[in-house]
Amino acid sequence: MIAQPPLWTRPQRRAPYLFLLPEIAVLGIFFFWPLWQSLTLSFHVTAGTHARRFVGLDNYRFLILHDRLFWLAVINTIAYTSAFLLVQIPASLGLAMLLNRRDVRGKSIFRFCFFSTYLVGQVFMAVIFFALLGRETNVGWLTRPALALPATLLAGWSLSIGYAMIYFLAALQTVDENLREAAVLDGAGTWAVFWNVILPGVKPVLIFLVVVGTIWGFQLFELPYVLFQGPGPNYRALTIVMYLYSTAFERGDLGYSAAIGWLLVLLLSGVSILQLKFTSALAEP
Amino acid sequence: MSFHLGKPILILTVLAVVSGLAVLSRRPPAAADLTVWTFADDNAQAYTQPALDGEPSLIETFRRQAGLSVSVQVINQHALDARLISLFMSPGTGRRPPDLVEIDLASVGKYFRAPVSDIGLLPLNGFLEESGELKKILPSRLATWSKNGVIFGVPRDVHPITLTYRADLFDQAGVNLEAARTWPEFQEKCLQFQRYWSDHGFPNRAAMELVAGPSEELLLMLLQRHINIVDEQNHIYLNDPKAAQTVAFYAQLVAGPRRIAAQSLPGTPFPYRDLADGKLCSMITPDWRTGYLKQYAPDLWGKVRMCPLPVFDPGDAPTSTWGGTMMGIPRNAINPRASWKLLELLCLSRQALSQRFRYSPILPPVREFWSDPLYQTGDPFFGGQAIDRLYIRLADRIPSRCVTPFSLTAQAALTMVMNKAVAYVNDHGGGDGLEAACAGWLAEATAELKHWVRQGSLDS
Repeated sequence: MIAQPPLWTRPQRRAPYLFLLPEIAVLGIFFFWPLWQSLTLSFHVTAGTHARRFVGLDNYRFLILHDRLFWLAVINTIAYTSAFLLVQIPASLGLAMLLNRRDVRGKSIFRFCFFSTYLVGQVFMAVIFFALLGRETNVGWLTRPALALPATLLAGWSLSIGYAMIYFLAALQTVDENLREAAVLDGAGTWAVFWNVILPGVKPVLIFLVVVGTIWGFQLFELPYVLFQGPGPNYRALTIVMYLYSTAFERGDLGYSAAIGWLLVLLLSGVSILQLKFTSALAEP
Repeated sequence: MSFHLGKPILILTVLAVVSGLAVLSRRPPAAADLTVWTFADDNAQAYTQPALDGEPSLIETFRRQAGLSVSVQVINQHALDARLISLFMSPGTGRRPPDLVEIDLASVGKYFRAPVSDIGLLPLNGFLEESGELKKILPSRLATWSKNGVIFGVPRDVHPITLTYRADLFDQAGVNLEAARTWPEFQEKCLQFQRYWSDHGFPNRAAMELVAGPSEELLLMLLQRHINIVDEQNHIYLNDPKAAQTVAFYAQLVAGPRRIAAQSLPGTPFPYRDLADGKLCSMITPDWRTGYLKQYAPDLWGKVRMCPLPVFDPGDAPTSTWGGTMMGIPRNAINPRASWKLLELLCLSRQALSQRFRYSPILPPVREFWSDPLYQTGDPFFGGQAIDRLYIRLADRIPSRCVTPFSLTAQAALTMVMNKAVAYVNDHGGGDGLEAACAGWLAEATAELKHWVRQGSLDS
């Protein structure tokens, strides 16, 4: 019997590991190491690399039990995300269905027009809305606390409805036309066709957009930060990520802001898991 | 010629190699001996531009005196903060720090988070004493840039505060604003002013610009009463009875039936334009705001006047202070003595006065310069009023302002109390019982802030 050479001397077996090595190194250096560092940082009060004090879970405890501004940011973020999705999803699906009709002319122009807002990005959209909403009116879009959320939502919807519409348009192409025709022949009305044929057809995209929209909403930062040039009137435009930024770079406590970041990760993971579970449950017969 | 992977890949590879070589062969610009970081374009201009009388620029003067070249870099304030804090957080990475750096008052608290021995800036007490500058600088301005008696920055300014008002509109309404000595009297005068203009077709004309949210103006009023909401030792003073009184009063300036103030959009030009358009008819004016006023509201030429702030009690200061910039030397600067010499020239020398005045007419913190003719002339924009003389008269009375790592947190807590106070005024249609309610909210906020300090302090 011929003895097998050890693993690392066999070129054909070594090759895949060698090819993977750069990716693993990049992931390790730029993802896992900072992730580990931020986790350890969140257990410290810090000012630079050598001025730090280990506080265990105190940052988390303080954040959850005592930090009103953090909870205000959480409420603002959840309110924004919920309202954002409640309008974005139906509006973009409706637009996509309209543009999917055979009798609509100039579809490509409409598609481009609706999608083009997404191309400008959050910062530019915020600047545009600053110019629009900051005009001389008695409404006070940017100065009245009660209007801070609606103003941010208007800018957010303008930015993203066209983007979601493109996804729905692509999904609508996959809806089986025969199925739709069969349903119509069987006497199904418009609503029944939508509920029983179209919606199940676009469901994977819908779930994707809800999850991505939720993540987008929870990570909201630039849009309100530029629109209000800060946390807005009475902190009504303060989001979790804006608070994280402010804690790290305006107050200089990286440990505390790392704790905010990790709580955001937990919150976002929980919400995403719930969403996926909920939407899977709907799919069951 | 053939390439087995195809021509497009060959062309892309050649392009990548050529552009890579071009980048690698590019010579970096010659490094100056000293580097200054500033976030203000005006300051950079003052340092680098030749004087009007043909004299060389300040950095050229320094080059001739010390034989060292200087590069002045203007960096956006957020970027400057991020870079500096990153340098301080990772010493020993080989990156060269600036030799001099300007830091804004709103940012400085975070640099003071570390214990004194770990702060990334060089203590300047020795240099200040040795050069004799310590005695010349207004002591109240040094407090802002110090921790536990160790001075980390030299102030570039004093920023006393006055009130600028539309003299034409107040005169037309027959209201003499300057006769108001106290804030309640001031409020009465403003209500009288608003009634007049409401009767004459301007129901939305507000007598004053004040923010009903995160508010610097409320802090200024507290400072007038010698209340630093957080002192140098991180003691909290929000539960001072005068603080409750001030918050309750402020809430009634911005809300309810006795409201006299409105706010502008966020952003630099808006308050000045609102003053010019007659929507807001007076504003709190630190000296740096006069430059913006002339820039954004040139149509106000000759229509505005300035006066000291009203007070609450006889012992209060008729002024306060808003904003500030320090110049400091990073602890690991290569040649601290040369940095100090440059700092002296740019910040504390008589030579720099006219250059600084040319680009930003702000009062220097060195008392002996205040007698300079630059600060004695009447300003036609203010109807010939000698506004710098007014600023000088008030400068000696500005209260010390402390900034610590917890100042921003305390400001946020104060703002939240103020929001409650404004809501109270709106809900109750007035301020009855508001002071007691404010006292309760401020006591709660104080307890929370003490918790913050215990939790977040790195000082033993």
